[in-house]
Amino acid sequence: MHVKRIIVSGFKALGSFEMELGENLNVIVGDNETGKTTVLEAVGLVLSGQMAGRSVLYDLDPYYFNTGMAVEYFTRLRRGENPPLPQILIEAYLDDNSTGELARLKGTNNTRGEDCPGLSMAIVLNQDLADDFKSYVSNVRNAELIPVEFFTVQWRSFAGNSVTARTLPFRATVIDTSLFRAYFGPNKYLAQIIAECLKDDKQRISLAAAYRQLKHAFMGEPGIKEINDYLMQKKGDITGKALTLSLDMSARSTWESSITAHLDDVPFSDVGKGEQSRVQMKLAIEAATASSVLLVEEPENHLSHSNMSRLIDEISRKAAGRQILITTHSSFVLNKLGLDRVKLLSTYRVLTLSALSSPTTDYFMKLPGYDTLRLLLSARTILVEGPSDELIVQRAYRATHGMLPLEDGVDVIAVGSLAFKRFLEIGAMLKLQMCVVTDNDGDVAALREKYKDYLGGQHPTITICFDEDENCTTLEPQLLKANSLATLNEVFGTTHATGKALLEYMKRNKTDCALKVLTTTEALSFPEYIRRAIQA
Amino acid sequence: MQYKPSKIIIAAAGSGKTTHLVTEVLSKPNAKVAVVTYTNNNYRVIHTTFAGINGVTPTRADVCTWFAFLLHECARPYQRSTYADHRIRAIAFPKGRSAPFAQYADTRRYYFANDDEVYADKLSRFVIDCEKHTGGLVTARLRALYDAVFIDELQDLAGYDLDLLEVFMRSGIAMQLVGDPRQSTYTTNQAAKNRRYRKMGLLEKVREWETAGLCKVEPQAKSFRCNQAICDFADRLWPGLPSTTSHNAEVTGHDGVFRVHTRHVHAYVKEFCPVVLRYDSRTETHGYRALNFGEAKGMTFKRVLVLPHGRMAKYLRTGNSDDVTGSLTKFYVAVTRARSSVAILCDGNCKAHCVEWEPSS
Repeated sequence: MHVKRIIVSGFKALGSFEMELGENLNVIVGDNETGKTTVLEAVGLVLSGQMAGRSVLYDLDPYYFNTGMAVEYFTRLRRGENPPLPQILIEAYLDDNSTGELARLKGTNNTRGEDCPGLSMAIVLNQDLADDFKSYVSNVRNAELIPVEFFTVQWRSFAGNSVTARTLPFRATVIDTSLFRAYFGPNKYLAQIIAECLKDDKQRISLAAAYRQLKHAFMGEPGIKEINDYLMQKKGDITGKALTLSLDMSARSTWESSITAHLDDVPFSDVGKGEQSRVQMKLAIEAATASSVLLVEEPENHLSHSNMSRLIDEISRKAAGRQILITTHSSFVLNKLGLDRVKLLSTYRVLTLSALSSPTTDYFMKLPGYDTLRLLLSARTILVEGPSDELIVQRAYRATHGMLPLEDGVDVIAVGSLAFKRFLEIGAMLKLQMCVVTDNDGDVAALREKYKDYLGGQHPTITICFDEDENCTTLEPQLLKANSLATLNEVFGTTHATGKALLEYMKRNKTDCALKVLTTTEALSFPEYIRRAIQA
Repeated sequence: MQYKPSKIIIAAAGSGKTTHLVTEVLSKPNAKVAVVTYTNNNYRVIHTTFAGINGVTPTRADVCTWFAFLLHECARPYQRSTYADHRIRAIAFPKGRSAPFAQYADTRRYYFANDDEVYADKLSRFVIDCEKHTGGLVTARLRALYDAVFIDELQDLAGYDLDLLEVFMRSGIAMQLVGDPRQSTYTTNQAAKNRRYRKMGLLEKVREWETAGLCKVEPQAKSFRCNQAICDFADRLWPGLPSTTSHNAEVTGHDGVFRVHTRHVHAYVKEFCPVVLRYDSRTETHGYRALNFGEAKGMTFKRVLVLPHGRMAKYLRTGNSDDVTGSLTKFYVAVTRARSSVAILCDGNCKAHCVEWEPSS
């Protein structure tokens, strides 16, 4: 079973949202505030009816409603209009090779009218309270938050029938190493995962039964009997009835709240945070059967680089045959899991790289340290050949715009000329604003051939900047061409008599020179192709 | 497909229809099936029968009533193809025919009360419409969901229900239908459609299906409940059908069908403690607690005392089953509840085959 599409409206950051999902791994990246976490929450909510471990049926929160939607509703209300009622809709479309239990969820009751199995959760005005709601909103003139007391949750299959978590043939497991502790404390969360991890219902039931047995035995303990006998004598003093001590036998008091795991005899909560995260996550992966969806939030939290690497390997190995949605802020995680699995969330759209050529995917998988996220998330990227080019472009940018590129949302990345085309492939696919600053290496024709796919205006977001002058092959002669010998001698604190000598010096001390260019207060001129790059 | 082709069992009262159906379900341990019945009473009987044989009703068997089945698994999933204004919230049970003046073309008024309650007597037709408008998605979904659909108490279905069963069979859903037209005391709806197939006419319909190659028909003319004398008496009510063989040879000293004069009724009840069955609440019960014939359906008693109504009394006088037409099925149900003895309150002449009982002293 896997979710092939999710459609969300009115839920938290997701005003109107739609995302296609892959069968196995889905790596969701995006800047802060683009709704990565909300996507996981929405999937968890519609598949399990739960949010942060609590049933949404009993626990509605005004902040579930999209703020923009709420504000617009109340604004229009105040203007005397009758705006459409605020509502939340989450739909999960499941894959269609459905037999048996999944077929029960099949029907066309979804916004697309598509015949497929699926679940929908709608949070709408409770019709029984419609009149009360009307008088409430007309009285409360300065309301900003949706009064959730008047709302109700409709959790249904695409067949149009109500569903309950028990009747669904799959589960959604949420793993969030950073947040769950805050809600529940480690024991209960861990117990939940362990319970799911147990081999079958038989093991689960024997554990519960053994625990009940133990509680029962407690009552038979001579010490407890003595206490109860003592209390019996007090009958009449406190109450007319027999007062005895007993353990809570109700279903509420289960082993989950009392039994804890030990790692090498150390209680789980006392083990290092990193190990806790790793164990919880691995247990959860173990527990996720083929028919469940695993939702992983930022696995890089609390983990050292090497631990994370092991965990990621684990995740990608187990991804076969089950669906995993994973959010991350780490390029490392992204590159290791495969750029082609990425779902890039920006404020308005979801972008995917699934059509990326396999050499490019392999390239980034082999270089997991590469900062691909920087590339994906920047407003604009300038790609340069090496660290000295990077520093000079930064300086040129500041000279023109009065600030460093990063402060302007522009990222200058040194990637080496061989990798340019890998980055360009990504940029072209995602229509990223991207600019390449390259040396002509004395062969403009070869350069034109190399970038022929990008020079004819095929990709309007991409520009390739280089100089036509084959005598100035690299950045150093270009700098000399743009500035006088005296200016450069001044900047470097040198006294070279000829341009040739200065160039020799610059080539020997590339980074030093670049640093000096970056920090100098001298008014420098920059080559035309660099000026073009920073203007674009 | 484990269950092909569809099979219809026309059984006699006490032939163990429900037991047969439950055994059939349990015999194929991997099949996902729906077990559908008409009355709530029989819904409970099916669960009890499963419990009696298997401990519990297995999860893979969805036991549901006919209306729940139609609403949840047939109408709602593809309702939008026919009616998209509102989700069908519930079923409306009108008195008599629903919305008699609404035109079929006016979907909302023809099918729905209060916009979102579908009329019970038209629910099957609505499902047939959805099936048509979606090009067969309703039955495709059912085939994906179930290996077979069992329907108990077939005789209670009428009107468009029968058309829908035909649609199911034509689409290749493996059906197992069990019923006894002699016991058709309820019908799901009053729709004019298929009126001629009601009650005994159902047999005609079933034979049409068999001729069309949609199903095989198996008569089950045996009774595990009633002794031979009771079977014979009941068979005489339906002259056209194969005679029933009893598999109950128990001898109690008071076996068979008797008639009792009103003046002996207290003596009879005192001696044999029968369960008293009456036609309906208007029948004089001589002070005894009594069950209506219809309510007694599906139940078994050792002895019954039947309090006849006007037509039944006439049949006893004439011995001609045409005289009971209209309430024949109820009379048949009443008589066939007993394992050992049936006593019928009857004063005066009697041409029906029964022995007069008189107190010994």
